[in-house]
Amino acid sequence: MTTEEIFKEVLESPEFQDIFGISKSDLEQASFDVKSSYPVIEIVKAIIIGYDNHRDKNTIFQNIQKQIMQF
Amino acid sequence: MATTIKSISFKNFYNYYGNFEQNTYRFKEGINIVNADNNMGKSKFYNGILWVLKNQVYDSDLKQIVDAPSSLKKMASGKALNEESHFEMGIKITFTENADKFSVSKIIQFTKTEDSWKTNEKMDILQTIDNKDIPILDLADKDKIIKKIIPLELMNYALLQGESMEKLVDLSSHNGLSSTIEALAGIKNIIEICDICKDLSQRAKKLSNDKEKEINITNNRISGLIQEREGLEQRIDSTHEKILIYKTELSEATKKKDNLEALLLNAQNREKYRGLKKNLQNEIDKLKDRKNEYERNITSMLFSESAPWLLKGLEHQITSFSNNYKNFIIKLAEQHTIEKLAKDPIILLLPPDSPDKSSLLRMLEREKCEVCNRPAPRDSEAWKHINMVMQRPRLTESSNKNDFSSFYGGIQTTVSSFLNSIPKISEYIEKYRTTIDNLEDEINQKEEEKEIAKLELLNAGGSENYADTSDRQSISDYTLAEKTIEKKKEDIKKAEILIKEWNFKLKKNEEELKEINANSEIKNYRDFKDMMYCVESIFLNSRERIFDEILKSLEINANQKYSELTQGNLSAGGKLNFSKQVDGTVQVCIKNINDGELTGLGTGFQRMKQLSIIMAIISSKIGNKRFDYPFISDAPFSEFGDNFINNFFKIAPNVFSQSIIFIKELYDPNSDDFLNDLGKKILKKMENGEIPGTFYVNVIEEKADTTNLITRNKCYKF
Repeated sequence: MTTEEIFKEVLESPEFQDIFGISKSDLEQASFDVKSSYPVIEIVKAIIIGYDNHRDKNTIFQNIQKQIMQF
Repeated sequence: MATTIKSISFKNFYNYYGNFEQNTYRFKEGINIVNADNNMGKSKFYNGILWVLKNQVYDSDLKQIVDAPSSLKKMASGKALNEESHFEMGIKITFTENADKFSVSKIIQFTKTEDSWKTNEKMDILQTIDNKDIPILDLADKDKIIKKIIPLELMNYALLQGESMEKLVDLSSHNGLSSTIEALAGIKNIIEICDICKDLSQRAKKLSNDKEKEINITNNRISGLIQEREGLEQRIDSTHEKILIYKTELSEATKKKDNLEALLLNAQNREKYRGLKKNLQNEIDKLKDRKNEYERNITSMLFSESAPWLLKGLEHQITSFSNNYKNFIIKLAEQHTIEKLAKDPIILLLPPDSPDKSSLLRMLEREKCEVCNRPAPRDSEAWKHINMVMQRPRLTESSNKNDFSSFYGGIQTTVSSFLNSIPKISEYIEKYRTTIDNLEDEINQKEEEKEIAKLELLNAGGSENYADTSDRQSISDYTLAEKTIEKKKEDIKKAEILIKEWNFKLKKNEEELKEINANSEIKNYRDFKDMMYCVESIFLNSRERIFDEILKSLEINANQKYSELTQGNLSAGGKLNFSKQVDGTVQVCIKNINDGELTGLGTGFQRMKQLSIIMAIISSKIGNKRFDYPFISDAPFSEFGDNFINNFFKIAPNVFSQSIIFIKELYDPNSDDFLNDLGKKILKKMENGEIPGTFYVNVIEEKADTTNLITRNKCYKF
């Protein structure tokens, strides 16, 4: 699966709506290239991009922390 | 189309004696049939492919797959070994992968030394670019190119041998169907991301806990709660790990049980066929004894008192003898009469004592002949004649015993007792011969049945020796595996109950902590921890969802193939059911219309089940990924009838972009073109374009023993 496919597949999880209250349309509009206003979506992207760029776990974790700080 | 094999050539490989040019098969998309009788190179052809892809071959003596380097001499042509001191043995496969063209040659150089053979292996791989052959030198690159023929994860499904088809789709292990589904879906990366998420979640938890401790180091109550939480989390984590171990053990025990189940079934089969073989042998011995008895009795039947076979066909001789005897008696009587008449012509004409003396006296006294009723006056000629008759001397009985009358009479008396039985002797002999022939037929029939029982015994993994103690060991191991499964299930259940209790306590603990420790900085860390935990779950669930979707799609696809393959069979084959097990593995069983598991189906149906799954896997297209690789199979139809073979040829071109099938079910050694009716029918369909592909028939150049056999191919359709 490509990173884009993984992203789209993961966004289909009910947890985004049930736990994080993200609407279906927001989820449909979410894109890999455009920054989302939902931290959880940005975390998901950071993990996928980190994996795709062969970043080590520590670096991915620090990136996520930075993302969270910006929210 | 990912990969198409364009040609396969052999050089001094088993009975493919000669160079590559003499032993080339050109293939194309569609079904490529290599039709050959037993021992004409089907499995050897398959071995060539196995050798290139896996460096293994099937050793027909050992009846198992072995590493090729241990079997090189067996792989070489017997004729080349006998006649040459230096030669090359090998295989060349040319194939295309999309627009790229490759050639793989695997060659062993044989050089004879004083008492053995020296071998040297070389692998030449060429890639054709702009009509130029570029040699590939890097070993890793060579390996990658070989895997382009059939990728490793699909090799089990695209490369199969009919005899071992039941074992091909490993439905119980993590490396079996589940790993194939992961490969099909291309979810290897998502699986790796799940592992990363788990690590990130742990880091977020540790960060949050550390921060909380750091901030509340002076608060004993909070510190106590944190300590309690850490303890609970630790126990939950270690119990989760234990559950993973239990699940692995459960999976292993289940796999062992399944394997043993097959063994047990075979053990039962072995017992059945051993018993059958023994009973048949007893029956054969009894029949042979009876036959021997009949054959021994032939001598006594020749001289039988009631109907001696020696007299067969002599009924005319007896009639002729009776006639001759009658004539002889008449002739004898005539002879005696003539002789006696010469001595006493008148008297002799009268029978002795006739007329009697008193009658003659009366005739003399009355002077009248009572014989002719004429007067016979005293002293007349007539009266004197009567007197002479009365005075005639009494005849003494002639006792001439040299006339053989009594001898022949005796013979006639003896022979007459056979007069009724002799005409029936032919019938008796025919009946006797039929009895012996029937016994012979019965013996042959039983011998054939015994041979089948022996083959079944060997197929079930048995030996000809009666004792097989490993069967007992299998039963004991099976019982142990069953107990292990029960125990592991129980362990998992208990562990899950414990985790549930600890999670409940943990929740209460966290609620209390949140209540008494409402620091905003800590809240942010907690939220981060919770979010990371959620993200971990999201990825895990996504992975499971994709897996389940593929599983469902495979189940539908496999059932469609199963239904198409079994179409026209008289007995219903049920429905394939794919179910994910507690340990993540996938099990496939056949269910009936009432959703009950269908057991006891014949080997044909079991193989169709496997073939349907293989077809479903091969034909699956997930997302933009295509899995079009050659499907290569040796003797896939050995348990199938014409109906299935027809169904297969009907649907295979829609499933496999290219298949290469080695088959003997279309072969007829007595036909001019070596094809039976089904073979002719399939060839005609190929010629008409109804079935795309090629059709080859293997023939032997001249009869020889296995080692010196030379196989050549005839291309009927390209």
